[in-house]
Amino acid sequence: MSDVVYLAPRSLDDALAALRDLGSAATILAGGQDVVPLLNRGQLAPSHLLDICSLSALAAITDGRTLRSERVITIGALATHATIVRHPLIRRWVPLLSEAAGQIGGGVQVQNRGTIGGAVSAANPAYDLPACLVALDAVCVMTGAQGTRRVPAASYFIGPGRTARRPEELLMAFEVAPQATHSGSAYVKLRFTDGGYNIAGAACVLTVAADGICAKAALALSGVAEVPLRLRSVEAVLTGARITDDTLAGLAAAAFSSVDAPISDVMADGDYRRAMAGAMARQAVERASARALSGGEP
Amino acid sequence: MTLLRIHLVVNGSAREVEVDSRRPLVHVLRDQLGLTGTRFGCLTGHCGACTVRLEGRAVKSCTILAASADGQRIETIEGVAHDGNLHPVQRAFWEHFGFQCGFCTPGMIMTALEVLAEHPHPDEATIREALAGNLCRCTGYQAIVDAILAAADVRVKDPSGGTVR
Repeated sequence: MSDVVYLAPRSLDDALAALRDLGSAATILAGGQDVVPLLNRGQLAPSHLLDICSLSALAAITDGRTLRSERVITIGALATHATIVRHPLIRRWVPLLSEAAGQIGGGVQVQNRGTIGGAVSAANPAYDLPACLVALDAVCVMTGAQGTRRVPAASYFIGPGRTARRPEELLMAFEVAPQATHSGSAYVKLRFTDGGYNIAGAACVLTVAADGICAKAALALSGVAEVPLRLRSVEAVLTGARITDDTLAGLAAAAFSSVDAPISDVMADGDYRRAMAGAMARQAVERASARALSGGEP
Repeated sequence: MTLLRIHLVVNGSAREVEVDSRRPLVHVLRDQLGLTGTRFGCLTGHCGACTVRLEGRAVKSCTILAASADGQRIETIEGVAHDGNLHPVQRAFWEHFGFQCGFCTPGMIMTALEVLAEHPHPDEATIREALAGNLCRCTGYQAIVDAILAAADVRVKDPSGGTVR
């Protein structure tokens, strides 16, 4: 077992100073649900561990305004999944995230300890929250020695385990617009047991006018590609359409054919994941649509 | 090896211990504090046998470095019974045969305490979903679920004798 220097900065400035000095030599440790098993197995052997759990300001969830005066819900990177499941601001304004966080595998223990920032930083294709953030057009906020940088979630995920964060930067928070009126969302995923790994998941946000016509659609898949897969072509078909059984059948087929290079692992091969992606997309759209028509509550 | 001196409050007692900075909490509880009721199974966060309560919340102690728990309160299975009397959840596991080999039992009970604290009147589906992170390789889930349902029931009938913290 190689030696490691454990650092637990008490302030954001100390954490940023350590990252500026250490760069990629430091592994950032938050809830540990991804990092500690890798350390235990020897798959990760950093020279330094930077434990940021003491930075409690990074766990805050707030309702505010951007510089352009648009309302935004800000979710600190250290907010745990259990907090996201229960938090009144998230349940009311970003219910997609509450629903998805409640489905994170591994049991209540993982939800109690795991953080949204950790789940995003892992950039594991099977994880649930990245696709949700992409469907929500969320913004990832990072701070480093050069200042603060905002990157859309769609550009944040580069590949498995690879993100747009620079080694000297700390992922601080996610900014999400509150769900609009006449909108509904849903996250649906296939797994073999309650605590099991994601085989295929779909995150959907729809705005449906009173006449039943879909005014706006966002749809992203988890668990099927190396990064969250935004289905722009399917969204274009949904926008301006009435959500009927025919629309749903068509979109399942369209989602299926949007998956070019499905991932394969011991849990499920690529063909199966692709087939299930279509089914999950259909269910997510159906549920989001029903919720939009009934007032948006999940 | 980098040693760190940390302070924990384990089952109500203040403990000071020198730990390797990479050591998961489960090893420190078992090997350095002698609390072998907490099992280690997989060290990957899958099996839940190492579940303890950290600041009152169920966590898997193989996925938390001991160093990260510095200054925090931990409850292990050894802290559940009081004055030699089994906790109502422990008693229910006993009475409903909620274990076979017993390896998963401490983790199951620590998770059950959280389920009952969050859902005073849980239905079977709530219990099964809450146990998603605890594996029983004897596959004795039915009796475990029965035990937790019974523990909730005892508590409803006899709140004074069955406080689930």
